[in-house]
Amino acid sequence: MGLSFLSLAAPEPGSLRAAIKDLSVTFGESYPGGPRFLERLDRIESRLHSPGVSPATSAEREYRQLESEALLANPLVSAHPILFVVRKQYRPDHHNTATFFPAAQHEYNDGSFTPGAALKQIDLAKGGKVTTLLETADGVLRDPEVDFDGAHILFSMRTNVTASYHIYEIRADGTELRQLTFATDVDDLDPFYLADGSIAFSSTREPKYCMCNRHVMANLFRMERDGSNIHQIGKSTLFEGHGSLMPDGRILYDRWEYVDRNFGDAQALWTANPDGTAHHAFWGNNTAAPGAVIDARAIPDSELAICVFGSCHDRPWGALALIDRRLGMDGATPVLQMWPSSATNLIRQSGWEIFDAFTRVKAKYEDPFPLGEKYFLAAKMTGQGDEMAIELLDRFGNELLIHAEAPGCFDPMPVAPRMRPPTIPSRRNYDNEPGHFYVQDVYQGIEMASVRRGTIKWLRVVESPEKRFWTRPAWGGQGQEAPAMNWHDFNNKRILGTVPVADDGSANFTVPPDKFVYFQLLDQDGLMVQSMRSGVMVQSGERSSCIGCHEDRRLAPSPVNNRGQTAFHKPPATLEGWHGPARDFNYLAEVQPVFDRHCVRCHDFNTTAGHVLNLAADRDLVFNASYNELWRKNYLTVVGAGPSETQKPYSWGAHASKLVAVLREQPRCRSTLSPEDWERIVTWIDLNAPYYPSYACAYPNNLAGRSPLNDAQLGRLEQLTGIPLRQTATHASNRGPKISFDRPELSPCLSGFGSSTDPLYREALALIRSGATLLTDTPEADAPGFHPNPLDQWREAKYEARRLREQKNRAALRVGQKVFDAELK
Amino acid sequence: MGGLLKCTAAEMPLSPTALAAGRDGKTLFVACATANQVLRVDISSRKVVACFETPNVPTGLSLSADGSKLAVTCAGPESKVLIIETADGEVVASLAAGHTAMAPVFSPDGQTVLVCNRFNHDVSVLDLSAREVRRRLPVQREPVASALTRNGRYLLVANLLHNGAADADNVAAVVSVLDVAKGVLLKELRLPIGSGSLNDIALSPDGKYAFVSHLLSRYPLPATQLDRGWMNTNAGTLIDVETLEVINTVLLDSVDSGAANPWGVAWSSDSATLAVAHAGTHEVSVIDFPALRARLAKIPATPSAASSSNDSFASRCQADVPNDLSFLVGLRHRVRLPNTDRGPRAIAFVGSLLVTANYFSDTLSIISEKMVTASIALAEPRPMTLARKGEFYFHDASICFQGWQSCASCHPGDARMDALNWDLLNDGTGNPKNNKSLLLVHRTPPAMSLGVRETAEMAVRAGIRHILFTEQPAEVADSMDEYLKSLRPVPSPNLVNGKLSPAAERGQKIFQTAGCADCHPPGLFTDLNRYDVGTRGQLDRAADQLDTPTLLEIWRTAPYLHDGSAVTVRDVVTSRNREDRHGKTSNLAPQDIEDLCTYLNSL
Repeated sequence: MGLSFLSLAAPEPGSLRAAIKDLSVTFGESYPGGPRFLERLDRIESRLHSPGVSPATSAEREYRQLESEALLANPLVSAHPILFVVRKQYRPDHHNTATFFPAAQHEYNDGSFTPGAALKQIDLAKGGKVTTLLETADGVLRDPEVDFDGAHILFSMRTNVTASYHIYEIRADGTELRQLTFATDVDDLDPFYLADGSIAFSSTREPKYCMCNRHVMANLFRMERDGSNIHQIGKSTLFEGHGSLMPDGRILYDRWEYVDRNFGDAQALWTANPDGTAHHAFWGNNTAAPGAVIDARAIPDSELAICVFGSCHDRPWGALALIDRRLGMDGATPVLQMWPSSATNLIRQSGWEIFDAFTRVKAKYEDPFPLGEKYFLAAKMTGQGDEMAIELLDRFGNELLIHAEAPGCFDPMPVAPRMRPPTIPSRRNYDNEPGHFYVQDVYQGIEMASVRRGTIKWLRVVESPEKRFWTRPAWGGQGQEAPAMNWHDFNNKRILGTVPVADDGSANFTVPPDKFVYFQLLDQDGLMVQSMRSGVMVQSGERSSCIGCHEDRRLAPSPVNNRGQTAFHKPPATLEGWHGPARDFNYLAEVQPVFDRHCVRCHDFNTTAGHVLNLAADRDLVFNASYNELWRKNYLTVVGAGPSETQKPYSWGAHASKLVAVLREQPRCRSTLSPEDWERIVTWIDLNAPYYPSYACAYPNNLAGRSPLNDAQLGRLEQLTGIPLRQTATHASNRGPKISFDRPELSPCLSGFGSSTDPLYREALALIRSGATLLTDTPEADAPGFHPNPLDQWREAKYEARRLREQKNRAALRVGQKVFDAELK
Repeated sequence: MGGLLKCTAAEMPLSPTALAAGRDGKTLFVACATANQVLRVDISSRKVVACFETPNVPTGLSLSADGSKLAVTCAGPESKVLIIETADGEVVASLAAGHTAMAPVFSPDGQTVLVCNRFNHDVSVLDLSAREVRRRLPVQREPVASALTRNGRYLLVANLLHNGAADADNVAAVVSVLDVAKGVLLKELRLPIGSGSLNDIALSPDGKYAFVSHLLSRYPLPATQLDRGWMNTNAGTLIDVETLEVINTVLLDSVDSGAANPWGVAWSSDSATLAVAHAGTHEVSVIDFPALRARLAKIPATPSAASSSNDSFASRCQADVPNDLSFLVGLRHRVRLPNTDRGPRAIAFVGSLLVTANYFSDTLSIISEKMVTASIALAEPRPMTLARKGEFYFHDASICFQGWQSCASCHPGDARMDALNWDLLNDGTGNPKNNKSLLLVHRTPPAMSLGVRETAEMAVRAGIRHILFTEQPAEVADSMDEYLKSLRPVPSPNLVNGKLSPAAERGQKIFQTAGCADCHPPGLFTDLNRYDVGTRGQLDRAADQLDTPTLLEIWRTAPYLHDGSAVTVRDVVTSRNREDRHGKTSNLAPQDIEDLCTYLNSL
């Protein structure tokens, strides 16, 4: 194998001795060689340490032999064959979730698929005999999981480059292969057995996309053992992957989603009940580095979990970490051990854009599987390019290569019975009813101590809708927005309603199912004091409770008496929208009219006040003038695509923003605003000052997916005006409004012309007017009459078809029938 | 009567329930509750070396300081306390005690034994030389355990339940502190809101601390989930014996793993190790006490900026500690008992070994160096009857999601009740109901105050699913049914020689004339129907009609009414019945009321 990561480690007799002693104590007669191993180790160790002897001595070779014998004699390793997958490492893509390179039509990056894979097992009790259970030359199989009875194996397989991934099951002896899922144009991945024999997996069945890019994302789904009644049990807006069943019966999975925060450090571990209720953060959601806490498994008979500390912009590998969440929900303290141990130095609880720090780990690991609290299997880089091999790791510091085979080995786990976790009864129905949220005390929270009791009067429920569309051109927010959505952040928002918070901090309300929502706490003036920056969901009929807002998740609810919890003694409040039914928030429709009525007569193009702050409605290439001005001139202090740490109350939003301070300081401006006008402005700021109501667009091939003028037209306009318009599609490089499609002659980019009779001026004006005409005929998403472009309509139709299939499956669940993918083709 | 070296082999299970360890490091006495036996076990040879038969249920043991005498409480409506010479097993005294005596404690001089009379709510001070009851000292409610300070002056008594209204602002059981010398109640140490099921209290051998095991119920919250101790948490409260003040309450659970039904408490001889048996999760918490003390001392009274989230526990101030599921991390080792050992209740140090008495498996677990090194079978293993199996599952938290609680958590004391109002989801939310005893529940359908479960069988199955949050094989519910059906009423402490007193007899007549018997006819004392008798509380739904409960054992099921708002039976028939909708009682003279209540409390 030559120079490799696997053979770099020097002999560690102390580690080996500790493991042998532990195995002897733990397994007694089942580990009979312990005393002899120790004797041999003593003899070898004295020679290993002899001065003047080069490392590659016979002593080291004997050490390696003993190490292999002693560690492989561990019954956890050798009593049963070990399953693994042979395949090439996934080709690099932008994120660690992009490993399946979908074949479905109109998906992004489908060209990186590398075929060839096999499902194998190695029997270490039989001298490492390798048996092939299943092989594919043109396809890839991945993500195997052995049933708790040790007799069956689930996995995901794609048979060729034009096919999608489906879930399959095979007997552990390699017979009786059967396909369980069949849906066309969706990829089913990461299957695992649930305690009652049913199956959960990740799937692109709700076709939606990475908010900071263009890749199709996946959610958790569940089906019966025979592949029937597939239904969605996770609804977060990006990716839910690497699910595994915890010893207590919950699902442990990694989730990628970001509401008002950065994409890069927003992958963490979450739990859910197998029926899709009770989604709760488990670990790492507010840790800056690693950016990706993924691929976790809980360790039986302990309160520990082992997982990968990786990076957003990498493959799903990195360092391995053993975490004890009793020691904390984030940061370094709860990390008991890491492989490599030096990776501990990369952990940062806070920091900005350090989410890819774990790419610096040279010899990366993935696919950890705990054999117990002290012994683990994993795949580790061999040092030969991307190739991975199967390793045995332990708490004592030993690392032993078990098997290497080109082009690479992944997903080791014993083909052995395991303790079947208990079945958690379902707490939901399939009637598409609202769920209930009950908050005990909003003042319970890490940062809420600074908020005086009685301050919070309202709780606003906001939906962060999924991204169903994408464009190739992008706006440079704090990450790629394809198409442009907001100045910094990626989400659009939909206010579902605002409910009262009792004086004792309790709140009780209903929320529609299948919505990814977050909560904001408002004061008596309706201004946001604190806001969630991740999302929650309820299933139909679920009654969900939480203690407070960002409380330490190691605390039980405070003891209270019956008279407390006053919100709970009333019927749950219902969500009644916001100045009308719930709708996608559109700056131009919801906020700009306030400025139009009260401000623009002073704050317009070519006015003194407008020079300070132009609040005109006029559409520019990507956003409109006032939106650009308020953001660019720092009238808004909002979190944007903010950092991973929990933010302090009042630290952003209307309370912290200059626009609100200015309005308050200028009685003339403030007094003209009606309460509703005022509320529209502050609410918009508290929503992180969004612009577009939809990820759909009218001009998908033009600048930022939003410009009516195409690149050729913009190129000519740049020549005519000397202004690099195409370079303005980022928040950092934008120098203010340059074009008014509403009043083309007021376009600032024309100000360099001396005369309106200049033919070049007239050509430039004509170009802008042509854009204005286009916008009139084909409005963008911010204007009335908007229709998504044809591809977006196609995507919406696909989304709707999938939604109807989901509803059909739920209908079957309601009446106790079975529906299969195949019937739906 | 006892004193025999050999007992006849018990046909029924032994149910080891109390321990007393000799100072020789090997002798252990084991009270076997359902076999009426006390065993003497030699821990070094792991053998039962002697057996004493007792006239009634042996509920508690205490060894005199010199080890020469063993006090055994033999519980019944008229309990006996046997004083046995440990050398030869001779019963040297048999003293009378109250109803269901338990938890005997020898005074340091060996001249006095203090005994809890559970259903008299008092403590008997027994003078061994005079062989008489010197005095009886009232405590709050159902005293089940006590600890005497080293100077013999103060007795700290664990009351199983609180004795107030369940809808009061501060619902919590107390530790009563008796000044034994003066014969008075010195003070009551109130535990955090929701505290109950105080099962044991033990004094550290250095005399400085007492630790009481109990539940800390988050009862006002809707029973939507168990995660993070949302319903019941399992706790212990540390008491400073010098000041007789509570230091703080610590949770014995962990973030993702409950440690249900903390029961026996034991200290190592150097006071450095504190051990708590978890009867529900079949494990033992072994706590590094100096480290616990240091951690408690480190926590500021109020949150400070210095207390960072890098701490290995969540508490930022002392008030957080009773809610902190991470507080014991690093200080406590959870020793899981093997499957042969189920239901550890009593626990004792025998020399350096820790021993648990496992109620359901008739075994002792020997723990050394935080590992179970042996399991001693006290009797030949035999299959459980269906009812016994049901009793086991009823007390088993390993069938509960994450081990937070067993059925017995809310229904302690042989499936009775915790005197708390719970807001179960079966009748909507926001309308908490007082927990009901399960005595006769199968014979008095429907179940629940609103009758939302047609039968007890349905309620048992719903409880497993919606309260334990688990799916279990049919055998679990079937056997629980059998267990609950096997429960028999305990004779009231208000009976005289097992019969109604003259006052109760007068009350019996009033019971008829006032119309009580119309809906509570003698027999089951319920007509099984639902009525609105004017007891609707402000949290009830408008249309609520309430199931007529049985009145059997009403003497022990306070507080009363479906919302637990009436502290006494007298309240029910007087202040809560001003319109005579709940029986015609407004015309009754004070003596009539008194007699009626005496009758009711005699059922």
